[in-house]
Parts: sequence; structure tokens; C-alpha cells
Amino acid sequence: MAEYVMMLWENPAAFASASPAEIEQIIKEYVAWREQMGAAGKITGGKKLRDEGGKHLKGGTVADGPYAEVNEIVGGLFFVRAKDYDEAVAIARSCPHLKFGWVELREVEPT
Amino acid sequence: MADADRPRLDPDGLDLRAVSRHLTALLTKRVGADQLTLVEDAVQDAFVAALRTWGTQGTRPADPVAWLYRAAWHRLVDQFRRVSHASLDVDAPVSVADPNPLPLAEGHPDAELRLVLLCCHPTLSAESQVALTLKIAAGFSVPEIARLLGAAPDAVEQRLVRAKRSLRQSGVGLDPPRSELSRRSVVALDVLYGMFSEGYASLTAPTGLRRELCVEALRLIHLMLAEPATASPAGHALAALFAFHLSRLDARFDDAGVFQALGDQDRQRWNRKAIAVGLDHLRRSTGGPALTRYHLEAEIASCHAVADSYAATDWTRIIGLYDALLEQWPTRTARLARAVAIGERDGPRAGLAALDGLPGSEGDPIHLAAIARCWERAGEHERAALWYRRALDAASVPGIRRTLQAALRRVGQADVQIEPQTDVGSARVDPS
Repeated sequence: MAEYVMMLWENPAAFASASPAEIEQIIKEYVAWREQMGAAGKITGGKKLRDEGGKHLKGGTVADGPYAEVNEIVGGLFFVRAKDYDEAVAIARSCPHLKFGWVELREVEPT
Repeated sequence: MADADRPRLDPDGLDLRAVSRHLTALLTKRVGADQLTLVEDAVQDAFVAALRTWGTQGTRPADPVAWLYRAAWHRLVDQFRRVSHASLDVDAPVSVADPNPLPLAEGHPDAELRLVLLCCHPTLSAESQVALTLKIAAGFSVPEIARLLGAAPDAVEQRLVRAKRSLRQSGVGLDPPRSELSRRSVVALDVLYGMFSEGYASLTAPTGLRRELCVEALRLIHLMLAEPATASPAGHALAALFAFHLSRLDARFDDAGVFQALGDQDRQRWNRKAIAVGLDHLRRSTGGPALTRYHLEAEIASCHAVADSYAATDWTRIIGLYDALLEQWPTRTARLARAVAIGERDGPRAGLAALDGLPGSEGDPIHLAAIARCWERAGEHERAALWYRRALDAASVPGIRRTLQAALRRVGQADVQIEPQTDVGSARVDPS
């Protein structure tokens, strides 16, 4: 078994005009997926990154970023357990996140 | 914590549109009507944050509504600082860390009622009042409102922006002067009547959104009636009208999705409880100084509601009520309905004569079908078929088309196929 990280890229404005009813629906979908994958041991954890704040450190400077105004940010992470990339891709493909963002999938170097 | 040990999520039972209304009402009450746009944005942001956070973490907070309230409050404070470089000026001291989540479960009728009255401010056009009420007081999204009003989303958005700007510029507060309450309430009744009609009278099967619109109008009228300052005999008449119509909602389409005209409806499917509610409101609608169109329309609806069958309906009384209605509020629909009533009381030939004198039959499937119906009742099936065909040519709504196709088969046009059903909802409304 290998470990993977799903980085959840998204457009911060993706839901600007979604209705409460639509959001309710997506929450249900998301939560059902998360439960199913968690119970099967495929997703071992997930983290939401805070929308506000964030720092970019380059050279000697520390700058604020990323800004909510940019088109794409990493909004959160899922930790995936799968036997290979094929299985990890299949898991990521079934994630509701793909409906409003995209996923960067990376294998974690075994220690 | 291991993933398997996390508390299970149960997103059911959380009606986000209701939460949206509550949060908007509460936050507006707290920060003032001139901050409506910021409040709306904050509530929307809180919902999006919930979607991302709960979904990713795989856990929902123990009290999701309090979580949403806190998130919205947080955004609001944040936005306010950004916009005005000042801190939020609120009447009650509020800590950002703990904005003292209020018990939202039971709703906040006073705050919500204020929003309704705000949306019905006399400086706004009738169209803006409806759009704003749907957005702010009912919690529908811009694309939903656009669908409901048959307008472009951009146009709705613009209308809302203009309406809110106009409210801000006229320095409108959340507490209208007492002298203005009754005037605003009258406007609010008009807005609710319009909302309900959009949802009910469209002749498409009232599924999903349209059904919600009817229910929402009913909820708001109850909100108004519960408050002495905004309750009125006219309000009760309107609530009676809503209840009578809703009692028939589920009987308007049969199981095959065929629209059922009043005379064809299975009266066993009428909601007796809703009729009782309607009669109660009707009783409380008397005694006011004014006889409104709601009174007359509710009376007409009650005649149908209490009739054991279509034939046993008190048509003479209905015709008299339509005469009174037409005297002050002459509409094409009311004229058509009156002519149909005459046909029912005096026979199909009299009905044809009454229908014949009315303009506007061209392109109106309901009018054309009424003529066809009279011919059918007179036993002239060939003529009936001719008019049913014309009605079918003019009809675009699937439920109506199926009705007309069924009628054509009934008058001997066996080659007519009934279109398959695609647009029928199953959810039921509890109109009490």
C-alpha cells in the first residue's frame, strides 16, 4: 500500500451564486463520499486550509498570499491509501470535488 | 483521531434555505438595513466555507447552524473592516470570537418580518419588490429567481443591485414608522400574491422550485398574520385563497402527469385539512373596511372547495362573485372563468355564447379548450375535435398538451398519441 495526497485546487468564487439548496445538495454528496471512502480505508484523513491569511516566503521576503482574488488556490488536502497510482486515480476521480475544482494527486515518498 | 472514530455526519434535516433566511434576518437586524449586500455576501461565504470545511474534514460541527452563524459573522466583520476601514457599529456589543449564537431552530419571526417589509418599501418598483423578497426574505438564489420570473440572471442581478442601492440611498431603516406599517403590509400582500401565482398558476406541474415558491408565500403570509401590526382582514383573505388552491395542488395532475381541469379532478385527493384552514381564514377575513380582490377570489375558491362535485357547484354565486371582481379588477382570466361558469350553469350553448363574446382566444390553449369542452358537452364531437386541435397547437406545456391529447382521444380521435410524462413531482405540501 502506498500513500498519496490529493491537493484540492479550486476557484474561490466557484459558488458565488449557488443557491442554499444547491449547496445543501453538494454537502450531502461530499459527505457521503467521504464517509464511504473513510469506511473503506481509502481516505485516511482530510484537511481544509484556511481561506484567510497565508504567506509566501521567497528569498528573504515574506509576503501575504495566496489571495482569495486569485483564480485557483489549494483549498484542502485528502490523504489517500491505495496500492498504486491507478487505484489512487480511481479514488480521486470519484471525488465530488471534481465538479467544482481539480485535483493534483501526488504519491508520498515512503520513508 | 482515527478516521473511523470520527462522529458520523448527518447532513439531513438541515434546510439551508431556511438557515439562509434566518441568518440574513438576524445579521441585518444587527448591523442595519444599509448593510444588506454585505450581509448577503457573508451568509453565502459561510455556506461555501461549510461546504469546503465539512466535506474535507469529514465531520460536521455538533451545532451546524451556530457554526454557520459564527462563520457569517466573522466574514461580515472582516468585510466591514475592508470596506470602511472601521469596526462594525452594532447596537449590542458583540464579540467576534463568540457572537452569542442565538437559538435559530425556532426561527426569528420578528426579524424575518422586518425583512419582508423592507423588501416591500414603496420606493421600489413592483418588480424589484418581488425580486428582493424572493432573494432576501425567501432565500432563493439569483439563478432560481431568474427561472421563476422568466428573466435573465444578469437582469435579476442588476435589478437587485439597483433595489438595494435605492434602499441605501433613501436611508431606509429596518423599523418602518408605525404609520407606514399598514401601507407596507398592503404592498407585501401584493408581492406574496404574485409569488404564489408564479408558483401555482404557471400550468406546469408545480415541482420542486415552483412548489417551494407556493409554500414560501404561505409561510410569509402566516408570518404577517401572526403579528398584530401586519395582520389584516385582507391578509386572512389571501391566506384563505392560498389554502384553497394548495388543497387542490396534488389533484391538478393525475399519476400519468395529465393536467386535470377543476371539473375532472378527483376530489378525494383534495386536502381536507387545507380546506378547513382556508375556511377559517375566510371567516377571519370579514369585518374589514375594504373588500379586496383577495376576498372575492377566496370566496370563489371556497365555492369550489365546499362543493361535493363539479355539477353541484353553486355556479350562480360564483358568477355573481366574478361580476363583482370584474367591476374593479377586469382581467382576461376572470372573464374567461365567468364565461365557463355560465356554461356550467346554463348549458354548453350558453357557455359558447358567453365565450364567443370574449377577445383573446387566439393562442390561449385554455380559452380554446373551454370552447372545445362546450362543443363536447353539446355532443358535437367533430367540432370539439377541431377546437381541441387548435388548443393543442397553441399549448407548449407538456401537462396541458397531454390533457388535450387525452381529450382528443375522448372525442373520437383515436390516432392521437399522448406524450410521455417528464415533468411531474411527487413531494406533497402540508398547507396547514
